[in-house]
Amino acid sequence: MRVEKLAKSHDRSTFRCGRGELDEWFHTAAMQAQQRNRSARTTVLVDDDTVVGFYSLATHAVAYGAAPPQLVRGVPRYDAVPAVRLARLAIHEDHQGQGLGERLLATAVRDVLAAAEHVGIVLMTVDAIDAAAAAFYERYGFVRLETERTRPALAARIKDLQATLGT
Amino acid sequence: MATIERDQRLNARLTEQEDRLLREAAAELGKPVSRFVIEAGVEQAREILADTQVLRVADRAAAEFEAWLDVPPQKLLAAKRLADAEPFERT
Repeated sequence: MRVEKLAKSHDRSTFRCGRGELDEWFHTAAMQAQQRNRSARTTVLVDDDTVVGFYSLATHAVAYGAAPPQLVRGVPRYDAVPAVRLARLAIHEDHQGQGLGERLLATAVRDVLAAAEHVGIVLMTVDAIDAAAAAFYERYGFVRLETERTRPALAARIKDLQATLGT
Repeated sequence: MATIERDQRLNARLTEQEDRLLREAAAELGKPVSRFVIEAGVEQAREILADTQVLRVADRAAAEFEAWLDVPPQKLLAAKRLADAEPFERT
């Protein structure tokens, strides 16, 4: 098995991870998002020529209001730190339970640390689809961020990941 | 089989033109107009939230978050598993 940047030649239609929302995004939107040069880049895990997993990474900012927020022309302004977000990670249902998710996460973390060598990134964040997914990331040292959003958001500091993974 | 409870309502005003357009598109897919509008809206909402460029830490947690950023680097016991996991080779 190996990872590659998502390309048109990958057959996305047969991918099923058991979460309709992720499957649908992968089937219909992943390639478009990448082609439109929007922020998300998708990496696929392939076994021969079959896609057995994927993840997508995007840049974003994590903003926090040191209360009270400064008002700039009447608009609240917040401090923010640059981050890379693991927006999605999924394994085909026929391949779940084999530790591939752990290895794929390790691959994604190393992608982020490689980028962090040359670009200032403070956090790696994760959008978890639900509480069970959040628990998965917590097992690897990601901590919950308190936000107003429904979906769990987690983060690990780049400097801690560097100290731990030795890069 | 579990049934999905749809107990919330959404009322919206729209122009005759918009109404015609939505009905035509929904008929094309053979879906009731209300389902068509909701599915399209929900799908776009998911996309927007997934691709949002700024994640806001809740105000009540901002001070703690800021302090956390300044803590010196430390090895994460849990992330050791990631250090030990073999990453996939990239081609």
